[in-house]
Amino acid sequence: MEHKENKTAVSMTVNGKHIQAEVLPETRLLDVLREELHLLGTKEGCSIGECGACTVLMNGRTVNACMVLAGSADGAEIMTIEGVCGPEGELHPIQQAFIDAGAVHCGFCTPGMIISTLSLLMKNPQPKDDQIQEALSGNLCRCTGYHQIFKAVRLASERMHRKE
Amino acid sequence: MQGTYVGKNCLRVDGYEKVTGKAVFSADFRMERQLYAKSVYAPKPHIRITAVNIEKALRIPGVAAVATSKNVPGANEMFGRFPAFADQEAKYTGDVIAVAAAETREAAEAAARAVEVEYEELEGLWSLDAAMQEGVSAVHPDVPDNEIEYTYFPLRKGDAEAGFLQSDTVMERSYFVGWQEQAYIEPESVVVSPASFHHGYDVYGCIQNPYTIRQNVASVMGLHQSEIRVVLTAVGGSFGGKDESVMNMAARCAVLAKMTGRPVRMDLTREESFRESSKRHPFRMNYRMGLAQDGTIKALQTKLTCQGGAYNNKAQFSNWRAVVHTAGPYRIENITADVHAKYTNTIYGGAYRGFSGPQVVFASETMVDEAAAELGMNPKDFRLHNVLREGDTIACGQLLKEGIIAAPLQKMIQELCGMADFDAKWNSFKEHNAQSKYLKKGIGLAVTYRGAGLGGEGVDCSSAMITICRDGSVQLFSGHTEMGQGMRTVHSQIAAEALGIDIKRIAFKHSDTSVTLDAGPTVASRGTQSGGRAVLHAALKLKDELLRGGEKKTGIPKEQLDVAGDSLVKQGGEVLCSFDDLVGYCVFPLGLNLSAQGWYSPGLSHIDPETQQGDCYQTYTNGVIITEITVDESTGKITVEKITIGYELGTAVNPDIAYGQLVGALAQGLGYALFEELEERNGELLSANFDEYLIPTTLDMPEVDFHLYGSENPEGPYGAKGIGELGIELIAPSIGNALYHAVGRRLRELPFNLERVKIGKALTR
Amino acid sequence: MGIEKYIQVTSISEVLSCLGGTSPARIICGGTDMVISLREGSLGEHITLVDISRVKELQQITQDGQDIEIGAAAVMADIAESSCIAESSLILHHAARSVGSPQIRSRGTIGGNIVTSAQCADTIPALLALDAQITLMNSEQSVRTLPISQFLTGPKQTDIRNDELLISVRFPSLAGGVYRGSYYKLIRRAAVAKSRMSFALISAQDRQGIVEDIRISIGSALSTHGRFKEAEKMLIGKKASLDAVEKTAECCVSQVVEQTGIRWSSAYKLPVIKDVLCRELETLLEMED
Ligand code: FES
Ligand code: FES
Repeated sequence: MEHKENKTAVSMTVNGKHIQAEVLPETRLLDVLREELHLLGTKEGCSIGECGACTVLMNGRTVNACMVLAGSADGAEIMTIEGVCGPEGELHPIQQAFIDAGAVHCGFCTPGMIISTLSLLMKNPQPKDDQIQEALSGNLCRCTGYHQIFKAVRLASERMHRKE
Repeated sequence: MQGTYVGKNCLRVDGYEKVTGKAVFSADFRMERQLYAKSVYAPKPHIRITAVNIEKALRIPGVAAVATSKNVPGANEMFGRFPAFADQEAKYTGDVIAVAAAETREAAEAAARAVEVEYEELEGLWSLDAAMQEGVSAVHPDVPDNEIEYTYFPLRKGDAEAGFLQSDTVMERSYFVGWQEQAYIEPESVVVSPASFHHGYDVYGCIQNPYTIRQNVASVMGLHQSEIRVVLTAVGGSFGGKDESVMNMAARCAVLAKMTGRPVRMDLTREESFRESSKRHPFRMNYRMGLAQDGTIKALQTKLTCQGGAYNNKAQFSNWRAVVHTAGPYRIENITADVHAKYTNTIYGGAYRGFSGPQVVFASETMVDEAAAELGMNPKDFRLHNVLREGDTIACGQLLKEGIIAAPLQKMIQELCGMADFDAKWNSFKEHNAQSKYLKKGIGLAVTYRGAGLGGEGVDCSSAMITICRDGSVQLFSGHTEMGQGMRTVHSQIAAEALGIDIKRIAFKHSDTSVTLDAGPTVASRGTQSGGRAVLHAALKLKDELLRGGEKKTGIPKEQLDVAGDSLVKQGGEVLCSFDDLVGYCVFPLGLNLSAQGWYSPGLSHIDPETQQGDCYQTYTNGVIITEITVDESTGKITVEKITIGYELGTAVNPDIAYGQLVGALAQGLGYALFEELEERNGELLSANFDEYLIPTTLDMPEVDFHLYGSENPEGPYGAKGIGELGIELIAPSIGNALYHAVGRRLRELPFNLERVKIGKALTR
Repeated sequence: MGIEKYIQVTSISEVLSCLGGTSPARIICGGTDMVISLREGSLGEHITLVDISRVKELQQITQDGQDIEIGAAAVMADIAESSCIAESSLILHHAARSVGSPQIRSRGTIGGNIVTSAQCADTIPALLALDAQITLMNSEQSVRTLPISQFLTGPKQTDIRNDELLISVRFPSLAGGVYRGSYYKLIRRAAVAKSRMSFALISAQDRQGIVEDIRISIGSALSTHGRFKEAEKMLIGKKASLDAVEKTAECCVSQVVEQTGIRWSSAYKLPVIKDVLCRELETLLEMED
């Protein structure tokens, strides 16, 4: 039912799996994830790069998937919330910490928050409070007032540190 | 109270789905053969529509149908005068004239763009101040004075004029607050499908009040309410907002579902959400206060005017709340207060966390601070002198009496000011400011009390249903909706506590109007206080049945039995059998009914309509805040450094969830106070996404020193009171009061944005 | 919608070969501005987009003697994290850190910031204060170098030609010398919002406190980005004092009024320009009491 035929092929690695898709040039990475791959955990809240609900990791860095054209992500390595769990669906310590700290209210910002936390803790396993705030400053949450989210990040950091 | 579950921090029952991305929100809910719908909005905020031409739109490949008012099978007008499709006239920027449905989002967008609307532009009432003038045009021809129906309430206590005559000082002030957007991160989305197993339509989506939607979709479709089924997906925040807009969307999609025989989905963009959804009502609030030289408030007169917008289905409730709370938590013997609401050709007001509370508390707590300054008193001492205490009557005449309605504010002010070091900082900040050229510090106080539940706004009813399955697992249904506030968890805790079972047995079921009973809207912090009572009622009925079975099974009279710790026990604690065995026996051979309906309604309050004197609310919650700020005098930027806050709210069924609700509300209040602002020009919205409408980020949140005060609420389940709303109303006035302390300037409009703080007024583009 | 073709390239010469043709080609890199224009439908029709985000040569941050060179496709996150930048030009480090959110900094590039040349572009005031030079290359591979102040020609306008690609931006390092700097961005909330105004200052004083060099640049103040040369001249060669600072700030305000006239926002902006400049200069400069 397409009204335009200038589709191009893109391929990328998403959560460790190699994927290919035919897309229009204006298709965003977010559309590839949600519409083509049915990875619905990545959310859309504003479509202009302001809310962070669509945050994914692209080549190890957080990006807003609503602001990346699919073509720009060609060949990239992407990780979404669906790739955070273990192979048997076990929760990552960050996910468990979000539950334990009461950091999940409506849950709409949660996938993006968890991805930003993951990126922070990969680079900086024991962040200070202001670093936590800074790292999550591109993820809006309207429900929690953020304090329980900070607590979750601290909790995850402690637990992951203890494990090592 | 402390029980096995109540009073404990049980983890959210819906956490796993949400941290893994598996929770299905409305935009994630897909149906086979679904069509995408796109709205055609009014090209200008106020127009006479002369023609709508859909021919071109229909020719776009992939378009299945384009609906206008002509296609509405039932009534085009819904509750609150909202039209399903604007017909002859569009009265505000969010009116929808037509909706296109197509195979793809792109085709639907192209079709919506291709619909041609011919129109004449009309003059409009673009602001509240304009609507308050004499002899202006009428938004609705049958309401020539633009006074919204049933929104005028007078409150009369004592003799205000006599009180003013006895006063040494009389002060008059005017306050104004504008719109606030709920700004849930999930935009609205619905899917409407021809029903699968019956005649009618199924509506799925992120919905705050499924029964309101059911009622209005039925009327637009010309069907019975029983023919419409509304099922909730996960809701990505609502705060009162996912109501009118979702109702309109559902009605329009239902029309298209009928035309096409297929499921039709509509996902709003953020800009559309801003354009179409309700907001917090703007208010103009004029206060006149009479004071005696010793600091006693002798009289108060207030005149509140609410901006309703183009349509209205909430101001009749929020205005009542406004007038009842207009005097704040002070012992004032003589009060005259009046509240009105006006139609305008603008976006409209609806429910937003706190309802009209944040508006009137901003006015009253600023006024009180101004009065203290006028008399040269410290704001804390002034409040302590006037605040309500045991034995006083509040504005609507209710008596504060131990065990019925608590009066903890005097104690709370003293304790919390002590913890925040209010007196010392009051002085040391002044010294600091004398030295510091650009950065000034301030500390401000605000106090509130808030009627919990619906009170006299309507008849409060709540429903719940609990079913025990044959294997001992338990299904819990509530007539209220989970929107992220943690209600499922709180209800599960109450049910587990009352049934004496492990909370893991309980599966909380999604709201579905074909299963649950109409419990009215989930508003006014009713989820816990009133909804929890219904759960408790159902659980206790069930337990009684279980004990009847236990008596048959053991031969021990049921009065001596209990279910506790997941077992049937004898008084004293001896375990008689497991819960599974008990359930098994009740099922066979006894054949008992292990399903129970819970219902709770305190009945209608008795209130005198001429004076609002009466039992306005069953109970009240109380709060005190102390806020410390830094103001940069070179830019007008306020930074909130620290908040010390205390809430009295009965038993917190789940203290962690209560904390989260209150801090979340604080953040929304902080945005309201500092930068949340909807710019409009002649009815058009200039800020319609998160680049222009700013809400707090992680870096905006100050340190929060948080204290819960307990008290028993005999009406709530296990002594609980609603918690969702108190947090939002305290912060704005406390920042304004701190600003006055810091720089000696008083702002009487929100938000305290850069311009207002720096040059005393807002600027418009 | 507007895009006809999306071309990915990995080398500068490939980019240049796309630019020479007759059909309009637009460069896309991080996409943080472009995707918004695309969504608003303001990009135009039948556009060819050339994606340069994989051109490694354009992403380098290098030091070459006294000069620092930043490739046009270097992302803000790289600039903010680069120790070379933090040492050589702290104000640029702060400017890059202040851009959007972490997610935006992963994508947004310095070249995009310069070429879009928005009023509120965060790095432009810093680059102006750093006396940065712009390097461009055209489809014939000939190089053109010019000061950034000349490159920025008006509101959202630059001197870039149709067949030119912005290669890099270059400026002398201020490391180890007498230079001090300050960068202040004014926004409506604590972080992640469009700049209301931004102030980039660089100063040098001798031992006696005589101002040897001062550079003032303010974002969202002038209709065309630029420095405040008049005001700078007032301070150079003088001892810094409260009075001199205030006069300098007032001179900047007059320049703004001269260039932009009085606008709806002037009632706020003009006093802020004066007060923030005073505040920043008072902290930056060693003053006599
Ligand atoms: S949806 Fe991408 S940032 Fe909001
Ligand atoms: S939990 Fe609702 S937006 Fe963060």
